[in-house]
Amino acid sequence: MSSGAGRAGEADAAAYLETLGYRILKRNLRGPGGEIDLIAHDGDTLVFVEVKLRRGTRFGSALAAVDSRKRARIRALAEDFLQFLPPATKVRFDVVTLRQGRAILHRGAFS
Amino acid sequence: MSEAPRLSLKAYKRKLAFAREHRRLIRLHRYERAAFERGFILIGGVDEVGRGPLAGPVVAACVVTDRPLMLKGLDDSKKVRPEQRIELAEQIKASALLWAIGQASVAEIERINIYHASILAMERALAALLQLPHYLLTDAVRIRSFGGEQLPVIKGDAKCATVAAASIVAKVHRDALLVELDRDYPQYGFAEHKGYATPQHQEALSKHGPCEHHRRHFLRVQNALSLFEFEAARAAMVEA
Repeated sequence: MSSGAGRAGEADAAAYLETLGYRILKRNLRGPGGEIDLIAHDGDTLVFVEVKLRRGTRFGSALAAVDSRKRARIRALAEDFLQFLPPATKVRFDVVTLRQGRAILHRGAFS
Repeated sequence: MSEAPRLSLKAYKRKLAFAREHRRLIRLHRYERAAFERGFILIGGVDEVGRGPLAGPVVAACVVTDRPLMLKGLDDSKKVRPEQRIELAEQIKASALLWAIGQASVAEIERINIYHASILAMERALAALLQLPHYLLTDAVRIRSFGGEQLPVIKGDAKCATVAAASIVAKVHRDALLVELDRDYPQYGFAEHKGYATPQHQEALSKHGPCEHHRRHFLRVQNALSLFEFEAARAAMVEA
């Protein structure tokens, strides 16, 4: 996500996650072949968050929009990131869907 | 032939009461049963509490089950006594297949209005489930982002067991939240009225003004606030 709307959406998503007690560590981690929108701490778990902007769509499609290719990219990038962390770090992948500025968190949307 | 065993009057009455409650619970599952008979396996009920209060978030819960919730006393959260509500909430969480809570904050209520915030809270409750239900019952609202089949039932919290269960889980969760807020802001009495507009709450509002958890655009908060501002202005004039 690199458009203006995407950036604003990421800020909204980050703000919402902070109200849930997430600590945002990094925004837009860029790597070869992709980008991770947000990396955050939720308690003792490291969470990689994909932010999805949606317009009037349904749950199914909102999550389906993070397709297997995208998931693979995020996973690969997360693995690169994890090399710099202790091996026992707990990890989770969340998706935040945003529709008209309304953030909905899908905890553990994929693994 | 031996005589039929005689029941004492007390035991007989207990048996009657049990049968009555059983029939009531069966009736309370009429929408769930209709969905089940059409082949849906996971039946969900979603409901929200805290649309009316002057303070605190709006909280929603979703309860998903694949079998009847035959819990004694299960009913609309407004009709169940607080102590029994807490006990029922535990029983619901234990016997439902899945349950989840969602909330929308006061800031969100102010930004997108209370109706949309209550739907957002319900959408969050659904998103927090490990698996979406195949069929969803709601209390007279349509959740557009839900992809499966849904049925808005007018007075659903009194007519559908799963919606009633969701209303109880949400209510107990929200009440506990407001007891917590009461610790930070003891002057309003959140622990007693849970943010609703009781005389005690209105009076505290006009005396202390609103705190960060008050829905500032709610008319009655406004009224209490103008009284508060009036009092402050008067005090300033008296001092001057």
